[in-house]
Amino acid sequence: MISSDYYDKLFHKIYLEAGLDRSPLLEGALERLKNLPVNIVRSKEDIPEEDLNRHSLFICGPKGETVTRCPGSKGHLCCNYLTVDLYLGCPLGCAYCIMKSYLNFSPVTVYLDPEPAISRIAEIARRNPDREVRVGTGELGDSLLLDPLFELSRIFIRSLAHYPNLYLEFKTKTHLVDHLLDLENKGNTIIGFSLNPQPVISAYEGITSSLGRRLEAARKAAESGYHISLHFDPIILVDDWEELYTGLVEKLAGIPEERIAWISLGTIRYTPALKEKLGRQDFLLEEFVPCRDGKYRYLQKIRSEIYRKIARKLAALFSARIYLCMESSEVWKNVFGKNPAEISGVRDIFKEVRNGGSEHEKS
Amino acid sequence: MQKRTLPELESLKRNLDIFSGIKAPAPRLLELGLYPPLPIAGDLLVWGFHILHSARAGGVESLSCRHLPGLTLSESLKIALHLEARPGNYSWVEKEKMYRLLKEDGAVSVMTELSELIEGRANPRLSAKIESFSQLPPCLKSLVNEQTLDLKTALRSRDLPERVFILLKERGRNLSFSRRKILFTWLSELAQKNKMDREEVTELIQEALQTAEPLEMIRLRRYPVLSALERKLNIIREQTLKGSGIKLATHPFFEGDSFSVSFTFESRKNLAEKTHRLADLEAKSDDLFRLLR
Repeated sequence: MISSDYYDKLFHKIYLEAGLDRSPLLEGALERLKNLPVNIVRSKEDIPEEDLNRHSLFICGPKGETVTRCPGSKGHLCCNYLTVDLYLGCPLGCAYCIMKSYLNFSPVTVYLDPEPAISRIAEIARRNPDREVRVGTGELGDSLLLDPLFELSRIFIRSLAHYPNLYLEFKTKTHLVDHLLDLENKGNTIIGFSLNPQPVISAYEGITSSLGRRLEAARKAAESGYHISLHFDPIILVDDWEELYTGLVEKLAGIPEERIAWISLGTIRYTPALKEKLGRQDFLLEEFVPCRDGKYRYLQKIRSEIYRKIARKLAALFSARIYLCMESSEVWKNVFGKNPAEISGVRDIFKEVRNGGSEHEKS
Repeated sequence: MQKRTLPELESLKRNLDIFSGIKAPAPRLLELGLYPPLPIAGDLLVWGFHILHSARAGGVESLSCRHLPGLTLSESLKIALHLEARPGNYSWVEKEKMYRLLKEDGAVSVMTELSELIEGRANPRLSAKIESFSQLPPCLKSLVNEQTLDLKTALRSRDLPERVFILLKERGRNLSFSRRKILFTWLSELAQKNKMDREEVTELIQEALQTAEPLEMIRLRRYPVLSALERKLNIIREQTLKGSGIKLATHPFFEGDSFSVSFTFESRKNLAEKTHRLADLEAKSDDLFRLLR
């Protein structure tokens, strides 16, 4: 189990929304964070300006839409993923983090009451018995970083494990899975690991877990009965990238392939607004061009080559479904010779669910 | 209000003689009394140095003044800014002088309050921006102050050798503001990426400034793969369609899966000629599609 010292270093203060039900969940988390000062505020707006940063933890009730559709990207193929904000914001400090462009002056927020989101997901799962409903909590924050404190994912898994068409994914750059291993009915729950070669992690992924610890956690999760997913995203074109990424794939050998639900690939991309926030990062010195969605990516020819090489290496090891995240139809054809709708298995991932919620505002 | 002689006014402290944005009024106007009274706080002349200058030049012996007892330096600066009345039009050097004054007086925190008078909008980051400006090398500072370059680009480019800024200041005048900004950005990215030493960067910019299109030359170096794709496409155009009147195009930045050709024809014979040239293009189509894959 992770010690509370770990969180004491990540956070400086806790802000608690007034009127929040003092549930065992909250009491348990506060007990684990007992070294941090707790302040009661009426709303986020009452948090002093100097504490509006990722070292403050704001605990509150649910807000607005509980389940939203991943916004996708204009002119790029979207995998129709549904997202739930459990933990919003992240103190891990990745150099390329998209949240820098719009959550820069926000505390890390925990939406403590999972029930509304659980009911909504259950409703969507019931209405789409013929489709794979894929829902994740790692869109705007790390799914598992704060989970040993609040254990919200356990509640989701327990409540939703019996839906056979529901794939609940908890995506992380940490190794914090131990608190989930003892659950009996795991259903189709997927623990997703964002992966990069260790030199890339060391250079750009702040205080995330090392590759070794992530892979060890992936093996533990798979052995305990979870499905796992592997996300090569963002792939960063560093010197020796080919050697590093093929080396990374080789390190996956031994993970039982029947436990791998899917593998995604995505090269680094950024909006002009994010570039302004990123400063003088050396990965920005590569050749990026504006794409149809206004985001900057490596040249199509280079992206295609990167994906082809990694996908080929992965396909030699695993039969799991591989998809590209926020990529154009042209790149799909360059890499796989066809669009996702024409690829068996992958087709199901890209099928839109009915009544899947409105698009997330961040698009 | 009282009259003070010029020698009396000139003996006052001139800490706030920091503005250079208003033209001195004609001495005739001063003789007619058509000017605002000069505010004085203790032994500090708060504002009106341009009026004083004009009076001296025009032989005016005294000027109307108003004494404002008990004002702090930051309150005096606020009054000076109200009288100066040109929010959004202060140079960086003027802003730097204001900031230094407040800093010496231990009143930097007032800067945010004054930012509305200085920039026309409340800007809590004004002090930080001025600090950044102050740390720029002198030549880059003068480019920013002259509005030849924006502060953000200057900050990104600050590690380039001073000689580069001097060369660009002297010989880059023909570039538009936006092209100059791009040139600075690409040059500093190139230097950072290729870990170029000072001499290499200076040589590169010297070489570029000798060409008709300096920006194009830097772009070739900053975007070598994209430039190579463009060059290859041009070679195919030259080899297969030169002089045919057929235009061959693809998607911006080679993001797409297709090419387009367009042409007009005036006769059957002319159409046959074009079709024949398209067959040449077809023979090269593998090379063409390689540009996108």
